[in-house]
Amino acid sequence: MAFDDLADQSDEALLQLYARGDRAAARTLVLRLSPRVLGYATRLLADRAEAEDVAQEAMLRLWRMAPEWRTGEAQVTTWLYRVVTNLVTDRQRARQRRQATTLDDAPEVADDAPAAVAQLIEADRMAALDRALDGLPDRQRQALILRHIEGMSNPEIAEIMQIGVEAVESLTARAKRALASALGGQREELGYADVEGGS
Amino acid sequence: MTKRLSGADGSHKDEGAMNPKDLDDLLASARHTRAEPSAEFLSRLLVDAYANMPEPAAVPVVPPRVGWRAVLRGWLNDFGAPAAGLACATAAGLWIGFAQPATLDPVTGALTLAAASTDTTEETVELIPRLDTWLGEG
Repeated sequence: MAFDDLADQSDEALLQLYARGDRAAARTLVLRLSPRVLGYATRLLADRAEAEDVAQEAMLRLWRMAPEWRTGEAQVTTWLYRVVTNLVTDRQRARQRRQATTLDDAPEVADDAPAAVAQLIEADRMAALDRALDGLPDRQRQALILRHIEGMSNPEIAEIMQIGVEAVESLTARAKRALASALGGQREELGYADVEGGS
Repeated sequence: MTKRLSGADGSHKDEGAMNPKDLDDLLASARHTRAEPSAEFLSRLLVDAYANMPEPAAVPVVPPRVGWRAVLRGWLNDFGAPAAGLACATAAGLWIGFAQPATLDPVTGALTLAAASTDTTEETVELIPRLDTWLGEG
């Protein structure tokens, strides 16, 4: 089947094609799913290399699951997020958590380059966010990332984390409060002081 | 350290915490700065995908069903001419045996009479007669 035709197919339909030996379906699934899987794993682990290992393992499990995939039972993305969540949890239990990147590690740029300064501020903000996320309890971090960065709905998160919807709401609310508290002392450093004063 | 304050509407606000709108903006930025997979990583995934791809379902090879007509047709194609000759000979032999046509009677009669005229105690029938029996005049 042509690549353009496959682009309109659902994840589940592509997985069924893959299970019947369609290589184009495999390529389409890789291109479609890997950014989300890798992005989620990277946020959870704050380590690119380790996140790639987790994402690869999750995709590998998807390929192996393909022939037995039960149509209509679960969304492919939801299933993948759940696998990534479990893999990350296992790793975090097994190892000492890696130190988050410090602000000093951000690349230096010339002071007179406005665009570069804006990039530096953005990099600082992301680094601060990663540090703050890293300080959250595991379940709160997972729920917050799924809700506010991956854009999943609460029922989807409940399915991924295998908890109730109310528990998801509670986790994300607590996580947001903790995040706001952790980042509160850095408002000026992150360039939010002026914005807050103006709003 | 932030200090938690309760509002009149029951909501809570942490003094010194990041403004909720700023936090939402920060999270929205994070959504758009997702780690993009490298070409090397994508190729690793593809290698896995191809290596674990199930073989296309093998269609069992069922030999075509052969009916008795096809078998007969095959035989006729292969052995038609010899079989026809053999069948004709068989039918002719059977007919001669049962019907005993008159045209053959003198031949067999001559043979049996010749055998009966010999003055011996043994009755013999020459199924392959000597040639001089037929060459004699009268």
